[in-house]
Amino acid sequence: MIVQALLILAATCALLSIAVPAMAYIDPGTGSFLIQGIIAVVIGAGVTLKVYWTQLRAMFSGRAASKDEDDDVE
Amino acid sequence: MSSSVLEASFRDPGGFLYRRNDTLYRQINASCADDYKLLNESGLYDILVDKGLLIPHREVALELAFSEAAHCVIEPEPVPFISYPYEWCFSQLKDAALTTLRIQKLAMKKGMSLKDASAYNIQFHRGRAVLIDTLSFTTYDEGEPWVAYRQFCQHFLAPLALMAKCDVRLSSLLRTNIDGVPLDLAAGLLPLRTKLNTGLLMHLHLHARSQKKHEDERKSARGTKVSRKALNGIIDSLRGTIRKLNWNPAGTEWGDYYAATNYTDDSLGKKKATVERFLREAGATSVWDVGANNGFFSRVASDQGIMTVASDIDPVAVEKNYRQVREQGEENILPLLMDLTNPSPELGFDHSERSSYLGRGPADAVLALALIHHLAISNNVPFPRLARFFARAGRWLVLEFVPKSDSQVKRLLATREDVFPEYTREGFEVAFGKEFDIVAAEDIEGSERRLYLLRRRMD
Repeated sequence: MIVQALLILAATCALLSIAVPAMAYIDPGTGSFLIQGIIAVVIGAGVTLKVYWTQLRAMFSGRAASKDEDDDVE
Repeated sequence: MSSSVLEASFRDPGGFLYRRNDTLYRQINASCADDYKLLNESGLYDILVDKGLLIPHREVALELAFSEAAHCVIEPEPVPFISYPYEWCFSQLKDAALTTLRIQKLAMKKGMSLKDASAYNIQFHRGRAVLIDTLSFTTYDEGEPWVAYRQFCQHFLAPLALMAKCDVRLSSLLRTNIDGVPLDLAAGLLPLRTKLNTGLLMHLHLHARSQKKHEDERKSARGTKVSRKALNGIIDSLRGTIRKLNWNPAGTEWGDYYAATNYTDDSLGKKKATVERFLREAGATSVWDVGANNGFFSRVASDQGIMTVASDIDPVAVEKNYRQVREQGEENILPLLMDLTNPSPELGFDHSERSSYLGRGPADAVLALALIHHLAISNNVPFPRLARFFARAGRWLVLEFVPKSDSQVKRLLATREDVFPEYTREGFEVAFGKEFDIVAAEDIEGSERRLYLLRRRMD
């Protein structure tokens, strides 16, 4: 019984250690983390629209999308 | 063998900097070994060094480690002069910000992410902004928000927005806030119209509000998920917002100084030749040009390959100087914003995280051209105090004495009582003679001024 309980406890600890990533050495700030989640949704929608828009424009103008200075790195 | 840990190097448990027999090393602790390994094996280190974005280093023997926690030891390429964000002009801070974001984008492509985005991790080396903290990288876990987002906004976005939209002198807030400008402070100072700027609205105004709303929450926001695509979008958005922030120098006290000086073209050329000769005689390998304006005379030194720190009190002059450095690809000159009547102090915990201006010296030679009247008359500093200051700043001093009969001094005295009976050439020579030997003195033809070459007595 005790062994079983210990095993469950060990398994729970192991699971928790996977679920919680290592803490950063600087405080990322709760508000700063949450706002990124919100901005991600707004920007995500914007990025999707931009991709379609760029493709559409390229299709009509035959112009390729502008290159980033670090596009050589994959 | 003498070793000491750098006082500023204590925040990151992954490692630290220390000096051993005048060589700077960085110890990488075992706790950071996996990140360091990934930096190398992913090819990120090579890419960043190739692009001039990260300070190069070489690995040295483990026996040189400072403590037993070491996984390995690296010796980074030395940066001759460490400068701080509150000493940078607008474009320097902007370039440092864009460099940080460029590095973050490249890191993400290689499965890594910056775990901090401190402006102090960027230095101007060979004329360009480079990251000097090799330990700033950690494994990027897909879905994780950017841990350094708050720090990036405080160290870069907030001060840049304040400089561009309110007043360029607000960079001084970085001096009073060592971990960057608090976002609620910036949001309160910025004009209302900045809320119409999508980038500033999201990353600064709403970010500040979110911080305020959740400041007392003890629970972690670790559940927040941000996809790779969205995080790239956030970085691009920050990059776009910062690129659009601009500050263009307008009217200034010094901006057109050389177009309106007491010099003809001929006497300016002669002054330049004398300065060049004096510097050669001093055999200087490092120069501090104090009151450098746009760096005209700093280039007499830097063009000879001498590492030159060109400081001035005027943000316009420093901005112009830095833009020239960038456009010409100059490697030996570092423009800095510095008020000599109140130079950078020691800052941070235990007064030891950031060094004072003089604490980063002495220089081989100090250039003080057309400056002494501003310190002695505008700021009332007596000659003996000035002599002591310059003796601490450099081993050699090239100084231009500007007499009371000069129109620039007359201008300073026009609106005040002349309480400076000792402000004469003789008074100057007696006071400076206590700290320095006068090696040479030459009148500048076509003006009433005189150039001195002085050597510090204590050497």
